[in-house]
Amino acid sequence: MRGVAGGAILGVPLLYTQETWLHGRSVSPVVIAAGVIVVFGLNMALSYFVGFRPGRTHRPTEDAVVGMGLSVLLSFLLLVLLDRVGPGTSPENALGVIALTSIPVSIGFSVGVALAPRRGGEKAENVTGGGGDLLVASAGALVIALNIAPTAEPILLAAELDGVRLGLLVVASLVLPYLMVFYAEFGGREQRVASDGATQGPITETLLAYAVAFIVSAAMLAMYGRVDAVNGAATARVVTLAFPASIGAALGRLLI
Amino acid sequence: MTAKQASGGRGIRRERTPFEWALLVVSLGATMAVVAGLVVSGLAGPRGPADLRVTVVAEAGGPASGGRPFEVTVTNVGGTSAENVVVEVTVGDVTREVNLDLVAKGDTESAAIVVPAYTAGPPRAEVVSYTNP
Repeated sequence: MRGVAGGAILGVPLLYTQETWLHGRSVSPVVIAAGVIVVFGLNMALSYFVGFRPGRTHRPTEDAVVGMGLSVLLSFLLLVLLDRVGPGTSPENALGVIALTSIPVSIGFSVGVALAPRRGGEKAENVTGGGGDLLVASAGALVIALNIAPTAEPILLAAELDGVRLGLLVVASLVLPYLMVFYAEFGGREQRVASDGATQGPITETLLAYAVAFIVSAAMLAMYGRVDAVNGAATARVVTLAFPASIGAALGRLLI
Repeated sequence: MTAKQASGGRGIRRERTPFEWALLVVSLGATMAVVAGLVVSGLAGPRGPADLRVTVVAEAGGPASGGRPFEVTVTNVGGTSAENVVVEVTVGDVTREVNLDLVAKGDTESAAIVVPAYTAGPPRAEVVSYTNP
């Protein structure tokens, strides 16, 4: 799960980039394959020095294979969820988009340990309690949402995704951060799981963090004039942006 | 000598669990499938310039959006993707233009046009221009 967390953190912003969808279909497949092979070599080196398994870097080739393979599968699932790849997509184009998306995800796998240190970030001990969790969750959500909200992608995706996919996006926005924060063995996991504070239970904290990501996303879209009413279209846009924002919120909580 | 020292400072060595073996096999399969698929499609796919085939059909359900809607479908059966594709559709004496950002090779894209309800006759369509990526 640590690798998945690292991959999601680095890969989701690129997943919300139209150019990735377009170039995955227009760039020569051989060139994309060469890119994957070069990045695989980079991942071997990163797995040797960093990796996604704390205390185990003596099998960099194996870790790079696992990182790349799981990145391909994670990218495929997220692209299907966002309807960028489907039954109507030709295999060649689907492979191109999946491969391009999996490149940053695989790098996230290879530096998973470094992205969120096991003992948390510096001065993490100063941020305590449920309020602290929500504070860093909102900061993490803001960093990601601020990068994506001004772009056309949330509007485009929200317009094209049907109700089922939007519902699944909400589920993914809850499940992926839950797994990242409570199963990835990142910093403070034991204390976090054992805590009995009102906002610190795994499910409660996950729901509150998603609420924070949702509010931050709505605020960012409103700031850029993308949401000016409470209706179905606006809700779809907020739900679409809240997915990467919830990944950012999880990253914030991983650092304390 | 501690386990860490025995491994030369590269972490604790231990046997792989069945789960780790399964993960390795699945990952290797996924990676190989993507790389092999890309190489094969790149080397064995159609070659040459973009070849765009256009079809226009009246959308089911009759008049809508203040006129007669038609669905314009563009399929690229050539060996190169086409960007900024411009398609001109004529119904009777009314002409509409459709712009598509990208029609990748092997892919199909569609768009809709609306012509006035009084317009009669079958639709005719042709690709006016596109750019190579």
